[in-house]
Amino acid sequence: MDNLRENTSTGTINIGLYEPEVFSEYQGFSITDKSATTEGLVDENFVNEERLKRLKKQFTRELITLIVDEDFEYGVDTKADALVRSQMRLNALATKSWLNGIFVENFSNIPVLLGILRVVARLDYSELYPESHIMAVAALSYKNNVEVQECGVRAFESWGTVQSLKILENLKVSTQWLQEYIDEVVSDLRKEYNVSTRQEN
Amino acid sequence: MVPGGFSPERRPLSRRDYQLSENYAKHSLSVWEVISETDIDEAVLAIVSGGDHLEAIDVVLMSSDYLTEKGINCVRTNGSTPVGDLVEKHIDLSNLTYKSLGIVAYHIVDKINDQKVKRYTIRQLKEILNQAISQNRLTPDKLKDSIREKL
Repeated sequence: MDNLRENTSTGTINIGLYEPEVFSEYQGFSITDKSATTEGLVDENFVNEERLKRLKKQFTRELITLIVDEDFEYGVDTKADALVRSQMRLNALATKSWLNGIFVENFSNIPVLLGILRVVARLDYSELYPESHIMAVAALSYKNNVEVQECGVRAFESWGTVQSLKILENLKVSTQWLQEYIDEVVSDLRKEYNVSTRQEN
Repeated sequence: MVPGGFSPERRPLSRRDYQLSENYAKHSLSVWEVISETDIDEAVLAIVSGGDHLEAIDVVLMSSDYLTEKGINCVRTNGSTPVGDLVEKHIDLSNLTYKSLGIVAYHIVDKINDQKVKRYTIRQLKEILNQAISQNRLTPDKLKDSIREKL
């Protein structure tokens, strides 16, 4: 029960099996035969899959439209941010999978790719790990568009973790201004984590 | 003196995105005035303290002389920043038309080519914000949660 309370407070439902009546009380779900196991407990896979289907059906078009139509400015919140945050609160596991799917399916669609990366970069690192990590690494390897690469660097800078440092310090790009930015972020993160250059070399 | 109250050595500062969404309806671009190039951090403080997220930004140093010479209307307006002594450092490049927006855009490109552009990383922005807090120019509760949590 404590686990459930803790879990639902962050909108995730990825630990344990819950008694149907308790689950429905906290999530507002109606428990059906399909979502219950033979032991009378809620099937988490079913719940997450249903949420994912709902996200794809009801919100994919909306998110892409927001990303494409809205003016974007670094530092300023967008409706796309708000939409993803609200879905993360409801079900983080399904939302992560949903975002990852949009990212993969739009890998050649630069505006959508940039939009997803910008949204992901603004979310707490731990909330979206490891999907966020994988998306940002994929962005860094995007050779055909320097803006996508930059968004990957920005994401790692925003999360500011030791993993960010490890990935960025080995990154070399051909665009001078981007390499200068990468070097600057690496220097910042080394200071943050008291990593000396000599030690790294 | 030129319209907008800049002395010849004074220059307005703009960010790359120019707050287009905010000012679209009134056909204006938002810029912040700085006394000299060494004063850019003040404009960055004004911009970042009023934002929703702490993210690296680029700032371009524009020439007020050039803009006014080309007929760009520079109007002093109160800026949206929690740093009280910077509120009046805000200027709108107003009544922009397709033609005058083009003049501003080409000027920005020229300034970028002249290296009059600087990127501020998140760590640098944190230092600027923390310094303003330690000088009692800014109180943390005036910042958005997502920014305050990163300081």
